[in-house]
Amino acid sequence: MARLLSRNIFQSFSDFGGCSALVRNVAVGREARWWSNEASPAVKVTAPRTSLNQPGLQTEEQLGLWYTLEQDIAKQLFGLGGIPKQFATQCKTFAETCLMIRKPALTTIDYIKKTNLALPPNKFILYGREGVGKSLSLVHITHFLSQDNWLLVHIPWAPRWRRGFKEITASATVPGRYDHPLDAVIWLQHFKSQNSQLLKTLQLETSEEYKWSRREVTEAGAPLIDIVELGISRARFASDCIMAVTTELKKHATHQRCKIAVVADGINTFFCLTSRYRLEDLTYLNPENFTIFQAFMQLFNNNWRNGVVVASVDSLANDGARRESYLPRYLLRQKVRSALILDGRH
Amino acid sequence: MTSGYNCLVIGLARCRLGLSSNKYQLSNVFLRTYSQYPPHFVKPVYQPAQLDDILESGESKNLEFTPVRAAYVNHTSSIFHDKIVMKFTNHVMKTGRKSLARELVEKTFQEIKRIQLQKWNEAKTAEEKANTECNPLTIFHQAVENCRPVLQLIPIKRGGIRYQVPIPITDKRSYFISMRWFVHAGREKERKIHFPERLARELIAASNNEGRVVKQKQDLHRQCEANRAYAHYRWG
Repeated sequence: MARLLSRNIFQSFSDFGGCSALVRNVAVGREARWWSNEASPAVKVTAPRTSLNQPGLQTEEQLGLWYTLEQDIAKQLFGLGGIPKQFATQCKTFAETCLMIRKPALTTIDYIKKTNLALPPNKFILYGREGVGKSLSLVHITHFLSQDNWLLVHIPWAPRWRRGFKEITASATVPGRYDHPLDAVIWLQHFKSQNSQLLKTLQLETSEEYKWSRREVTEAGAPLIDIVELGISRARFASDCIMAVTTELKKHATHQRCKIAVVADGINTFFCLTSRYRLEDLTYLNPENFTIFQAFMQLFNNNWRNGVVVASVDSLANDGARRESYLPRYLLRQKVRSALILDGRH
Repeated sequence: MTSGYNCLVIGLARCRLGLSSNKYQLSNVFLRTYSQYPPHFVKPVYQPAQLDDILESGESKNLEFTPVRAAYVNHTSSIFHDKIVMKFTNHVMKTGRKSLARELVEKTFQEIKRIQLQKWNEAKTAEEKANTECNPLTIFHQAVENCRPVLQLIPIKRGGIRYQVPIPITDKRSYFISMRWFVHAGREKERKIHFPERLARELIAASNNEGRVVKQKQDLHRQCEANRAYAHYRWG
């Protein structure tokens, strides 16, 4: 049963549901312009909106309508990443963040509501061509998850850590591993901004002692937010903090103290074979040696409970050589292990 | 004497005649300008409104057998044609890259629209909304008008010393100077902010009589006022 559920794959394609009438009218107006000598007068277009701004309450009746994401919620959830750049400039110009309610997002939300959390986590993968709406659907789903009191482990655009990283240093704790000091700090700030309220109410604690250096120690039983804040203040330990946080969250979820949602845009980048970091012997490092990659990949396993993984596979998240198709099996199947995320065999 | 010949003097020609290179000194010398067209060729009228005027007033009868010069490529009969915007695009252009200049000016207007739309959307009261000008062309025209100088300074040599003498400025030159100042302001250092964004901000500020370009005009006026004593040097 778990295997069946973990194979849910939804195609993102442009469907305008209840909006088809609007599309038709605009097309007629455009044709008329071609044969007129003067510019046609500006037609006032009012977007079909809905006042139902809670994703949990939206149904099929609202398909094709736009709902408003309040500015403070948008800033809290996506201030440090998540909303695509072009869309973000439009939101800035029009002083509002509005998302269209579309079928893939609604279906995923519906499945998440009906999930049996006692079983290994379901993995929902959105796929489609470029510009079709995967990232914005993820924004919609993330909004629902935060409203439904899920603890968010949100990766805004994963390839940035593999290709456009700010800095990479060799890990001081584990030889052969590599840290992202600055990127890890940014992610911890993002995690804190998204989950600070929930962490306060849940009061999660560390299960073991963490020794960062001779003087800096986080004792067992300390609040989890302490590790997050330590990582934000000390960039050197930030990647290890992420590892600690994800391990702790996995334990807490399995013991039913919280429910965790992993949202990743461009998850196929985790299974790419090379990164842009060059070692001394002039070879490119395999991204599986990144600390933060290992931290998040342990959440793609099936050995924990009370969780869900929602991701998108994007051909742009892969290297240029493997972008022929937009289909998930092609994009993910770069290593043997990556196939397991699809088939759920672990 | 003056029929068919332009009275405009070209500096180079004056030099050839052994006269001073100061083109603002009044003189009696008349020289022919260089043009690929004979003098009786008429400039084309390309805007529909002006064409209608000519037809109505009957002037078209006089022009029936007059040869016409070829029209410029950027002089279109479109309703969006704007002479000042065309001139501005030419000033933005470098090394003949007209398409790039046009793109930059279009992006500038887009950027102005975005900034003003954001202000309009964030305005709380209807009065604030009404006071926000969202048309980039209106802002552009207002900005250029606000930065047009009324006088200009020219160097005149007297007794071995060059003085900066204030003299009146023609309309054409005042528009040119105003637009040139804007283009230079857009090309400022710190190229992280690109030309269209920088220029958009300058234009919006100038349309409100603020910003560095308006300050440049005011500095010029101040200097002209300070050098009023030398104004008579203009006549030798």
